[in-house]
Amino acid sequence: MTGSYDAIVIGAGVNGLAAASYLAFAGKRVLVLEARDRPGGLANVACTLYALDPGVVRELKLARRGLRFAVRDAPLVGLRNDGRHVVLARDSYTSARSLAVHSPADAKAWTEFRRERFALARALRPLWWRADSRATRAAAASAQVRRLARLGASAWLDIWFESDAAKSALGFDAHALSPLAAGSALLLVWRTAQEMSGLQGATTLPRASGVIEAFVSTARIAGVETRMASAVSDVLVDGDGAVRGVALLSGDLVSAPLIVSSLSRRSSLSFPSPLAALAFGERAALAKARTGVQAARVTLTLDVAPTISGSGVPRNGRLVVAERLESFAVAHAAARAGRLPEELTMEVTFPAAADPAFAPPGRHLVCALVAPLPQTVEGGWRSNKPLLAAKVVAALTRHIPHLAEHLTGVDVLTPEDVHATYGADDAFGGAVDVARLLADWRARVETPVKGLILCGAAADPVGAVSGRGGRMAAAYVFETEGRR
Amino acid sequence: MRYDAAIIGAGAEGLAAAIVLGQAGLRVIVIERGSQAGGRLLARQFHPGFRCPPFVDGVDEVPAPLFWRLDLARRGAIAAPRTSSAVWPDRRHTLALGACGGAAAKLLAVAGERRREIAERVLEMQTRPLFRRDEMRAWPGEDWATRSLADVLARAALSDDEREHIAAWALSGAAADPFIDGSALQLLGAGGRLAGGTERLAGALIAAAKAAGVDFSFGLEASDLHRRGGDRDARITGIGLADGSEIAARSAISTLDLKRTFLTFFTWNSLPNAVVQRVNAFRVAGSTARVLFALDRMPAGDGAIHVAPSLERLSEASQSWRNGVLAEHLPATLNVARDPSLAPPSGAVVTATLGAVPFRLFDGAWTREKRELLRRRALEAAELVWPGFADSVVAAEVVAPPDIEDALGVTDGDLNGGEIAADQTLGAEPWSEEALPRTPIAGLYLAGSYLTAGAFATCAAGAAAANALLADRARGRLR
Repeated sequence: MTGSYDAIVIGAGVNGLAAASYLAFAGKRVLVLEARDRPGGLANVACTLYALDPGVVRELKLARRGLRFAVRDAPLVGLRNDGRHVVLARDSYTSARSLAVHSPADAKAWTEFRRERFALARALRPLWWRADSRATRAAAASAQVRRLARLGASAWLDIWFESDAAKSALGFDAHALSPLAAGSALLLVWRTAQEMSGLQGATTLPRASGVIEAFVSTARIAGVETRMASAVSDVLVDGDGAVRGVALLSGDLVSAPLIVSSLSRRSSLSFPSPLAALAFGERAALAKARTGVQAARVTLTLDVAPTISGSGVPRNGRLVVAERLESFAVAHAAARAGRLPEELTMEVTFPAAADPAFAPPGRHLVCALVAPLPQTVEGGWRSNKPLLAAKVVAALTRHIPHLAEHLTGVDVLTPEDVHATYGADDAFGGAVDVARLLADWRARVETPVKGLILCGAAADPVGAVSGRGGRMAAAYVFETEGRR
Repeated sequence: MRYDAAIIGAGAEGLAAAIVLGQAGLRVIVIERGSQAGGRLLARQFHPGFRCPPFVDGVDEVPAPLFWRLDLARRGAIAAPRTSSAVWPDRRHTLALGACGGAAAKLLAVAGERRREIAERVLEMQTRPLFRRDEMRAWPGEDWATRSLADVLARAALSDDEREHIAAWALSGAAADPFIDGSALQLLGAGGRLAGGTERLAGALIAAAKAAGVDFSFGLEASDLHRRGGDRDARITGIGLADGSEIAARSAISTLDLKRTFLTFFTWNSLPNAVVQRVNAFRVAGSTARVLFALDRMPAGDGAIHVAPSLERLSEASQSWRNGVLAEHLPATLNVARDPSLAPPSGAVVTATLGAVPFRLFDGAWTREKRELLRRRALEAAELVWPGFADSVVAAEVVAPPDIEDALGVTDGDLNGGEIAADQTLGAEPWSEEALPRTPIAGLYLAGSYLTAGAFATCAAGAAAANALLADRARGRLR
């Protein structure tokens, strides 16, 4: 099977479908190639959504295609071993009261911290949202941003809070970097700058059916052609270094002058032909590029609804398990050294409590996103899989006492599985650092190979299920065409 | 007699500030709680006949313009670059810092150039009013503030040996994790690039201070800062000493570290809230211990010798340090003192600088047993470099972080006076809205080594504070 298109999108994830829809709405003939037999990519793995681009939601009219959230603004809950859990909700009275148990000073600081965080997020939004370079440069150069870019999350939180309870709960949102790393404070602000369902910094829980379906039906309406089970084996590059199509694993060739890849930068450029087309320095830089933080998803199936011991934990919240903020730093160090962290840090949700359609009747789910984890672990992931599951169960049994006897199923998706199944190198589309957070958006989209651009998590400052990469890639295409 | 300025602390920074002010015709007094000037530059006898500066092997450069302005060359200060080697169990690698070839030389040259530019910028900034565009101007080396040391080294096309060597050199005595973003700044802060000569530098500074007409007060600690007037227009009137007496002065330069400056001289409720918050949040990171060995023969080798460095070990040591645990492998740097005046003929002094040594141990105080552990670690390191080293040891003294705090008055025994981290250096500390050495207290200036210039050069923080004071006087801010 061959053919000729205006553009080929590699990967039918949220970003790939968004890019394809934008291009198709602009009148292009677009083909989406997906290696798996179903669309959605990493959106299939995400238990929470926190970065879905409101621009994409609005422009692609996703709400009309069935995009709904099960929980609009999930409160952040810090689970404590002593049972004095911290609930940080939008309502600052609740949050302050629950912080006061640990430290009256923290309760007092909460409102002001939130105000500063929101103000910084507003100031930084042009940098991450708008596709306008001048605004980007001005924002990146401001003294405020430069200060924040050098601040570690731990240093920033230390200024505001004294209790481990407050700091460790907030710390999970910065887990793309060690909390000690310069710029990890910026990650907290990045999280706050996201707007979900009209609320700044909200985290939503998706419906069992909704997000992926909305993107798929939008693409269909736009006239995008989608082929499942069509893995790409090479991006074809012609003599003068411009792409001319892709070769599929099946041996078919499809031609197009524009390839939009939702793979990471490294994977996109590591196809044989683009790699050969790179200059020596570019190839060396690619080899040295760091991969980002790895995550695993552990899903536990129970035959009763999970309840957290201790008082007042909302079941529609996202529960962070980390005793101290340093737990993240220690876990990062262990991950770097290729070891399973002693204390796992994770974010736990109860998807079936938010939308019963997630689980078969009578069953309930506990979904744990465990991060950071090593890319390759001593002894291999295959043999560490049961250990990881056991550690998650042990950590959660502390908070859900009846967990073990009601456990009917465990599903572990290790970083290796994520890579094998979804082709993702890591959770964020490459290593996150300050340079990437403050880079011009074009630098994230374009590659040295003419006609090959990125639209996946790599095109986002911090990769997420956002659709923003798709929007940016499309904007880049329209911009370069306009110039021509 | 009423002085124009009182300087607290007679270390290199305090002396430099005194000389600059004295040369400008101000009446200046330096208040030192010890019995002589020189601070960490001074050598001390630790075993009959054997002397050495207990806390440092060498010092950073005095920025060239300052070196001439303070007139140090004529008074005998010398600046000899130090060599550095790295020794592994099976091999050895030597860099004559400043004279090695290839990518390593380029990286070290860049670091040196940036250090100089930073010091010069700090010195120059104080002589004129601060403009808004200064805030926008990037600091030299600011890109390192957000990158990890491992990353910078990985991109510099170095051999494995060079990479590990430079990491050990940059992190000698420190406790930063080379894999954490921001640790690349340590390339700027790597201390002791000059060999020995600390006593000569101290002598030259003291002579220059005397020539500039500076007075000294020894033996009494400054304990109070006397102020008069309301909250907004309070003025410094004098410095209270430990015995209750007062030295009248219109302004003060403190070379103590930030926490100690504000903890010693003020009560919390007399300070604005923002200051209290900022001082509280300022991080110190005491991480250095030293073991001084008196030997009965001169070992081979020269300069700094880093023992069995590896980035992974540095990283592990850093994590242990954060938890108050003494790591299995402490980063160790050995130094052979080549100055013949420090040891009797046929004898020698070797110092071991251990990094990632916590100030507070998780299991309690620095007992004799734990100090003994430090001595053993240092001996093991030395044995690797000089097999049979232990037999030549006549005496050894352990200097743990609390000893450094006691002797030098630096909080937590942090020789830099503050953690060299992206958010507390290069113009970000301690309050970015003010020009660097100035404080929210009118007439009080800071000159501790934690300030940008101080961490990267000797005498620069002191001179910068003096420059700021002179500029404010010229503008009529201080009467």
